[in-house]
Amino acid sequence: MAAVSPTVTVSGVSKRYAKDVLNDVSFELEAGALTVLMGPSGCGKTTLACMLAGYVAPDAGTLAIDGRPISGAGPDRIMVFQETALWHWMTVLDNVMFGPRASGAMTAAQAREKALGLLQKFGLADFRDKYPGQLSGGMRRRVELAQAMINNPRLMILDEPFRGLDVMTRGLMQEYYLDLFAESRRTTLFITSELEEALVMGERVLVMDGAPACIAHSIDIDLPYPRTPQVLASERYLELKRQLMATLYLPEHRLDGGSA
Amino acid sequence: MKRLNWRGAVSIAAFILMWTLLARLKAPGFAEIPDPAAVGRAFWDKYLPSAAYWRSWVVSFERVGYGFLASQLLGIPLGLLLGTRRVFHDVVYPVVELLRPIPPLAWVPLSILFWPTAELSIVFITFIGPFFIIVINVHDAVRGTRKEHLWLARSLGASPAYIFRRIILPSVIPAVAVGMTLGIAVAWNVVIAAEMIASDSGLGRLTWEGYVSHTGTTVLIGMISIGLAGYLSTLLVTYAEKRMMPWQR
Repeated sequence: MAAVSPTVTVSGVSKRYAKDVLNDVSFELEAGALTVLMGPSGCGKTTLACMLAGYVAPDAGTLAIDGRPISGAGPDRIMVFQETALWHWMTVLDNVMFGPRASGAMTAAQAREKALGLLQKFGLADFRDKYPGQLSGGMRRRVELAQAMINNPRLMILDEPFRGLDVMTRGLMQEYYLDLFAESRRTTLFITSELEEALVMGERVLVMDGAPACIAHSIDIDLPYPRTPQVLASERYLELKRQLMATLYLPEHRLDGGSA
Repeated sequence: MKRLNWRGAVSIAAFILMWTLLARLKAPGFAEIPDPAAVGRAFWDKYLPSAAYWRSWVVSFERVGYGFLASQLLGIPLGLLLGTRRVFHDVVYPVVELLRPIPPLAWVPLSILFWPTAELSIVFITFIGPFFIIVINVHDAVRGTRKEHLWLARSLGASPAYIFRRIILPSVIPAVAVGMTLGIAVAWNVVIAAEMIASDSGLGRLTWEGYVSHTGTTVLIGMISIGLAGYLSTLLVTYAEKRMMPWQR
């Protein structure tokens, strides 16, 4: 099974494109924890995710997994993108078995067997010969999770993975990911722009703010799992929601009082 | 089942009727243009049994076939190289950009001077048009490969060679299909003109000879034949494209 979940350390990370996006971002993802990252759109959440995945290098600062600096993409972590990144010219099965085939870690027969097992688990066994374009949004998301799981990644980076799904599918997918997370507690960074989603998913919420952005708040979500409707109606939930809202909707974010 | 487009059938009938009327009445400009019935008779009596006529079909098809095939066989790899190899791109792309705006027919004189036979020069000119189209299409498609598609493959442990084979190649197929559709049309455009200028055979030549000898029926039979030939080639290319993209079925 997956090796021990890693601790991720981000320290002093800055990035500049046309203007400064990130300035001196530092935080830690605890081993085996599900951390949610929030912040106004365009604040650099995706850039940060791409750095953790190893696609983008920071201008300053370091990112490390268990103390080893990140210097490129690696099979120990996987990112689920905002827009589906499934290869539309491959069938569902080929998409899922890509990992071990690409790395040569398994024979075709082994990879196939493992992929079929995952598809079974994700309720997609009947769709293995379909192309991604023939699936619904929620199913595509499950295929992506199966595709990610086949390599047993130790760190999961999910960049607004359930955006664009309808409310019910979204709820199911959240539950789905929480179950999956509970199985092996892979260190997870979950990016969202939805307050309720952050409160349903996270053990801790990091809030980015400012231009250039840095981590402005860290709020522990001390609600028990599973986060049933009762939990989500509790006094504590409402208090955390108020707290989180206060960090997100600052006066300077109003259109008439913009800070930048 | 496909619905019969009766409106279309009516308008085709109306078109033929108009043509008949204008030709019979010798309307201005129609003095030398035969009516459809005369064209049909001439086709039935003179061309259908004529080996020379069918030979024109074969000759033109061969030229388009060789020129088009060569353009794809050379153009697709060149486009891929230009799209993936930075240094190669920097060295070669400016030359491509320099030559691309020259219309294929402007190559006719140089081509005749260069190639030892007229046949080769015509095939070359037929090659030029689709060649630049496919090169640019493939090049742009490689450069436009979604970065998430490449990133995901890297994260899953794929080597650059594996990514090229399983990600880049398939993701440029739609662009190859567009390049082929545009290219086959250009190939026919070019071959007809080249035959009129520089050859003594083919459907283009047949049509031109009809003009030179003031034989209206030949001109029209030539035109209709060229239209049909182009249509048939497009069907072939469309069929090939469907086979290339099973995920779009």
